[in-house]
Amino acid sequence: MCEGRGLQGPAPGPRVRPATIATTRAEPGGDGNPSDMDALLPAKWSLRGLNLGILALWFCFGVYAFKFSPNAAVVTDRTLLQAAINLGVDEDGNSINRIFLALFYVLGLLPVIYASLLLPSGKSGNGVPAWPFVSLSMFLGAFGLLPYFSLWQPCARRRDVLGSQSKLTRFLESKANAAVVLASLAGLTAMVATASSSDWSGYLSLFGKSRFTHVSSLDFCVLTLMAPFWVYNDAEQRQWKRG
Amino acid sequence: MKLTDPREKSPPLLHLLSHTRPYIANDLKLDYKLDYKLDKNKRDALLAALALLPLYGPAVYLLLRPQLPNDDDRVT
Repeated sequence: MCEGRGLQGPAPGPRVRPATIATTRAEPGGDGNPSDMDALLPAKWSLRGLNLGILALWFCFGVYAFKFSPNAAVVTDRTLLQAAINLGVDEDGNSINRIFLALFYVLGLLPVIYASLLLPSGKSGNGVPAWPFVSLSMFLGAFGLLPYFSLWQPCARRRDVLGSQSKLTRFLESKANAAVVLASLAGLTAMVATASSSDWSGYLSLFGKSRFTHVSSLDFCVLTLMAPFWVYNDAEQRQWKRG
Repeated sequence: MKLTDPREKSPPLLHLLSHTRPYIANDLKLDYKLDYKLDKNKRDALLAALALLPLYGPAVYLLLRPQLPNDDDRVT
């Protein structure tokens, strides 16, 4: 459940003093204005619609990926996967397509970004934990995260978000993690920007034939399009730009 | 040979020149191919930037966002 201390009474931990609890009880909305959150949150019915829409997207994406996406290069798919894990070099020592390789690595970076956005502050109001879905997304990408998005509900009132004490969350909160993500992204951008025209045409050819490339590209688009909402949600929980 | 007017590098003109002034047409063909390749490279760079730019938003946000308050920060 949401960690709204004002809603659920004192925290089980011994570190919060009674004065603090009294303060948070007096301010159930976190900033003392519950109607403010009502204005920010979408209406219940539209939220349900959004959840159902994301569930439908997940279902359609799955059906498309496994039934209708191009699958004319099964052997190439296997080679691509093996080579991507082997830092872009296949069994024969040849380099694979740079654009695909960058895409593969970006898809490894996106779950880290989502973990940094979801684990500290993206908890669902109905108690669905984020970590199983984030863990799944390391291997399945959007297929692992979309179910969580479809189940996610905002808390009824703005929480007074507390920093987690777990080592993983502390690392995800750290600036070092953000710097590593940004540096990796810059490296991948350089990799893509210096790719030749033949790399791009090769990638487009793979996109039309290889299921792995095709679905990975769509996965990248879905995850990228979903990210701004979670950035906004995280900023709201931190009350960024609110003094 | 280099001509400054870009309109003179268009394929129809090349076609016309290849019949009338083949030596000029050959030079223009080279220029046209070079320009086309340059445009294609620019397009590729733009594609790369557009493809990866949206990811920079969340990544930069992670760097700039304020820390969540800890338990100790809440003690009044």
